[in-house]
Amino acid sequence: MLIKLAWRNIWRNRSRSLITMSAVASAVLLAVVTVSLQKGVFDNLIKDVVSLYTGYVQVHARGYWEEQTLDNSFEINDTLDRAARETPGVILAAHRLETFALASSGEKTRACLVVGIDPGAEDSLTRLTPKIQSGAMLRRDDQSVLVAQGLAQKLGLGLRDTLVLLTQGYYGSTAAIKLPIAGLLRFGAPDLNERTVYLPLAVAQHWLDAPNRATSLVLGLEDPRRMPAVQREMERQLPGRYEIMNWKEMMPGITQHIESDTAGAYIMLGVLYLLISFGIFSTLLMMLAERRREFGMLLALGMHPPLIGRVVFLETIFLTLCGCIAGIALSWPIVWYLNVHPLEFGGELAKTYEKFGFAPIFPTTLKTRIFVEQALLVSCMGVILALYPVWRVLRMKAVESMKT
Amino acid sequence: MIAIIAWRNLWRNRARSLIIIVSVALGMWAGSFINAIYYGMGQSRMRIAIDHEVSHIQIHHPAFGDDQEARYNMDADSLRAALENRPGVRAFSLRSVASGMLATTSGSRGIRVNGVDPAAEQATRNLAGFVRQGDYLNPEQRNRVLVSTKLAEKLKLDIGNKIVVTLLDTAGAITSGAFRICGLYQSENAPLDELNIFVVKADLDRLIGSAGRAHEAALLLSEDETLMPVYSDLKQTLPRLKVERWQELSPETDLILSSLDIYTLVFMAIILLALSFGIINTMLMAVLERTRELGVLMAVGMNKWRIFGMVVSETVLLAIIGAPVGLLAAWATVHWLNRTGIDLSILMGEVMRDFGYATIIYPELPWHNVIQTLELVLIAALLAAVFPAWKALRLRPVEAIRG
Repeated sequence: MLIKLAWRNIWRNRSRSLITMSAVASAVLLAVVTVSLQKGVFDNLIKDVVSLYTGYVQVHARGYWEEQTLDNSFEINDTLDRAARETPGVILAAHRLETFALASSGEKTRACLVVGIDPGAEDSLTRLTPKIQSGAMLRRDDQSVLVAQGLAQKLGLGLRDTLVLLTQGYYGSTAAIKLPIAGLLRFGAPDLNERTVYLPLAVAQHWLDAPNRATSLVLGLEDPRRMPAVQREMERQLPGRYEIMNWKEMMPGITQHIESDTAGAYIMLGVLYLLISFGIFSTLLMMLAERRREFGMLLALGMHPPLIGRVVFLETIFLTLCGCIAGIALSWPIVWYLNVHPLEFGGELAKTYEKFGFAPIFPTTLKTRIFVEQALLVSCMGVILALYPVWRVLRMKAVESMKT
Repeated sequence: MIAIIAWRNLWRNRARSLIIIVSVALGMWAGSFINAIYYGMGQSRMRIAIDHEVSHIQIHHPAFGDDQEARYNMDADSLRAALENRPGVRAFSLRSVASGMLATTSGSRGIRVNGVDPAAEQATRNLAGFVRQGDYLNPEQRNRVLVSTKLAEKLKLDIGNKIVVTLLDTAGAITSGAFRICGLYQSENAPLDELNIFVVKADLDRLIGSAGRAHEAALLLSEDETLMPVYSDLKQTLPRLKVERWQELSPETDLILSSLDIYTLVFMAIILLALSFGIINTMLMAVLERTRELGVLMAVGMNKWRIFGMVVSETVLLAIIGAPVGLLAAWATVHWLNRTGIDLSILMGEVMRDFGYATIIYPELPWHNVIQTLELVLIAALLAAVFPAWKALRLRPVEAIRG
């Protein structure tokens, strides 16, 4: 009975109900767009940062990160490969053999970081191909190198010139190799751009006299949010002679930046919730003001105040629910559009971003969970706010309300 | 005339008027508050970069660059002559710098030895303020060194220990020297802390043969605003040296500031949208409720455009009342939070503190942002008024009176 009454009341004054619904719908819309934008930007930033160099998670021989030498390398083995393969959430694993070396053009010499890679896997992990400025990506059995463009410039070398690499091999003997430059890479971060050289893993192992050895196993994850679980699982599976590090531990500087962004985002959300709940509240207040006479009449006719209160409460709940559904329906295409065509910024802001090799784009993330969560949250707000008109109705006096 | 009618209408429907005033005030408050938070975050990051890390401007030999070889240095006296009493420069520090190795029984590390004049370094970046244990460098005592707590922990060092550093001197030859640890320091930037150790310049000069030379000049200006003129001036005075601003020296800081600017922009847009939705809804309800009244006005011959103007001016008047209220509230909140600070570690847990990052933000509200926010809020209110007013236009007098 009450439900029916409430439902009819809603459609009695159609425009007023539609306005309240649209207030709720716009609240859901704004909350969903804001949260999916925040999450999207955050994920995008992490993806950018991680694809700079480190990947999400790395496995090293224990002590390698503190002292990055070949002595702290490990032998490529099945236990490790199996652990990586069998840990849920890991979609890629690439070995690297890294060492510091002197790069020389014959006339000029520079210190550099040489990375032996599995070209295919590395490309998916740290997106090398888009960074190639000229030349071509390495293939697994090539006998050539990719050189960061800043380093090549300092050495006065160009595409197809010969690069000499000199360092100490695994057993301490001097190791030297001459290789043609197959491509030049452009890194956003200046320190990578001025000191990085890539070559195929097998060539590096042969050159350093470290057959079948690697310094790190870089993992690519399906969902960055599952990183802690992956790290725990790997730690459980692997014996203590390995260390498992995530990008946050490897790049504390950028982590600081991200953490402070997140904190700012929480404050922002708090402020937004305040605004949208007031938006809903104001339509309820308007409704109350308009219907004073009607409620007064009902009271005068002998309807119990608690009964009126219940009807009003049910009305608000219906309106909130319909509004939430409309809000989801409206926000879906917007979030989808902003996911496919992210916000993009130009000018000075873009230049600073590009210096780091980041795209100046702000995509949203399209996750069902966000829609459900935000709609639920707004519904809760609606329910709490609906208590106010009930309270007012309970305190109403028939005669006073009918006076205008 | 229309404005007077609108003004009177405001007080006939108090509930509606109060709601819109509060909405606008809330929007104004939210916009200013978000602005203040992000501005405060950016400022604190910038202050750390300028005051504690790279100063406003640094000058190097053009070839000094990444390898930081000791042979690329500058004449200290002519630099001093150029920098002393230069307008806009508050303090400067001439440093000798050498990269090398620090070996102890617990391991070895690549380090950067900074030879500084303790007083000048103090004036430029308050190094003494970072000393956690022991004493700051004293020019009277020979061969003392300040290392970071982080490095000391990793290499198991303590105050009073002697360390031996191996360096390349200005001629490119290997040399080594012993220093005694006089104090442990800790700054906000953990990775830099691990790299940098500080000694008295004269001691390092003796070791690497750089007396009368300097590898790095760091300048602190009296005001941030004079950066550009001082910078271009210096470039002209010292054409053969590399002069860099903090934006180039600390590109991460520049990146953070840029992204904070973008966030402010995006969030402002969202807040203005929320505000406009609120106003549209309330005004629409008000217009629909007044159907009868508006119908009568039309029937007695009030022009449609006047009705439109009346509804718009009602909203604008309400916005003009609401905005200063919100501004005042924002000013009070920001003023209060600026004194107490917002402790982010409550929101973020201990993650940030682990990195020695400043976990407390002090919101700040610069005037030009306030005015911009005010403009935006008023424009949003005006735009939000148009739709309900347009709705009012479409009422037909006869039906309106009957309804």
